[in-house]
Amino acid sequence: MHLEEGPLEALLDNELDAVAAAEARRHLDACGQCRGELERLRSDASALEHALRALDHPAPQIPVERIVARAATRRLPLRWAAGIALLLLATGTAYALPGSPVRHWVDRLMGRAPKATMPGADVAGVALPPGQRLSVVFTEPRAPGIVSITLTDDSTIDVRRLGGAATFNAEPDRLRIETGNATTNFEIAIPRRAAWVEVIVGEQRMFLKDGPTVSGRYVF
Amino acid sequence: MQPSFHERFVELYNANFPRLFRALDRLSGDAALAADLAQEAFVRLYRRGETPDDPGAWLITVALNLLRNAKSTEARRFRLLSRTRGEATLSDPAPQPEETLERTDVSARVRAALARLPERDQQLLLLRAEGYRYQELAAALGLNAASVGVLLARAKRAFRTVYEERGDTNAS
Repeated sequence: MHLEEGPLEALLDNELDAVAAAEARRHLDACGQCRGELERLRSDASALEHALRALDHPAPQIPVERIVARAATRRLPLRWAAGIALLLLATGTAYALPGSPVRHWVDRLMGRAPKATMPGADVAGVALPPGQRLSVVFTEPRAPGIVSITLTDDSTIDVRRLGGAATFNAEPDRLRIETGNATTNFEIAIPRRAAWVEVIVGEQRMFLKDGPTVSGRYVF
Repeated sequence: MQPSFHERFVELYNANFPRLFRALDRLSGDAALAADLAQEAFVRLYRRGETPDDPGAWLITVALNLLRNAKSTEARRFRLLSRTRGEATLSDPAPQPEETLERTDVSARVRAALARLPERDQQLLLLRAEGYRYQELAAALGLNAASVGVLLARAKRAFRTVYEERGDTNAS
């Protein structure tokens, strides 16, 4: 009686227990037909392995701290932050319009235009519509910590601060982020459909999405 | 002293992230999406706060569910197993034009061959190629562990037949 295909495949994959494997090997020593079948399975496995290599990209280097920070992130605060940021953006735009009464109201109430500043919380961020062009600018000359970028199918650009401290300043085509000397990690989620988005640190462009073409680094 | 959950998580992450990413990348054909989903699976594991009995099977099960959701979300316009390579980052060395063409051609052929297999066979082949054990495959795909060997053998044979057929067709 010959060995069946399943146990032979399991033998190749080291998935048979010790007793079954020893029994199968004894049979193979004495049976040319089963040895031939084993060789055929080995050859199929080798052809598959060779073909699949054509599909591979190198795995991204994502520090485990980033996963832990994301796990600690709650979605609700981001939504609140997104709402606040959009409100501030709308207010800022209205403030900038010549002759706008908003300028008068804001000046009277606050003396100056507000900033989307969220110090103190562990996680905070802003969500902005990408528009035609958007520059995300870290004003300090060096990256404030780990900045990681992902492409999403959402409709807004989400910039999230993980720990540290930061001030977000939203303008029509620019988001300025000031971190001072605090070490702060950021996650930036960019919609795949965004037309043009760049991420700049100091004066150096680290990432650019121009239509479907992406250049630069996802993590820096 | 028992390692803390955090220490076990770090160990699991280092051991499993690359293969989880590669399996998702091969299944989806979208490296950016694969990176997102692999991260999300680990985020969920961390939020769980305890290590499952079989972490490898747990992670791949969660990741496959996430991939299924991504596929079913029309807005994602997910081009499963039919697209060529996704966008390369600048951190990868820039391939030569001939190399790119050849790689894209082979990659498209492999994807086309895989696409002709049932989804379960595609998943079996791609996950096994990443070293997932029979027990993990059975748990993730809802199979009897005793039947994984024979299913794998048949799926590999079917892949080879289709792949070589397409090679002949392309060559003629």
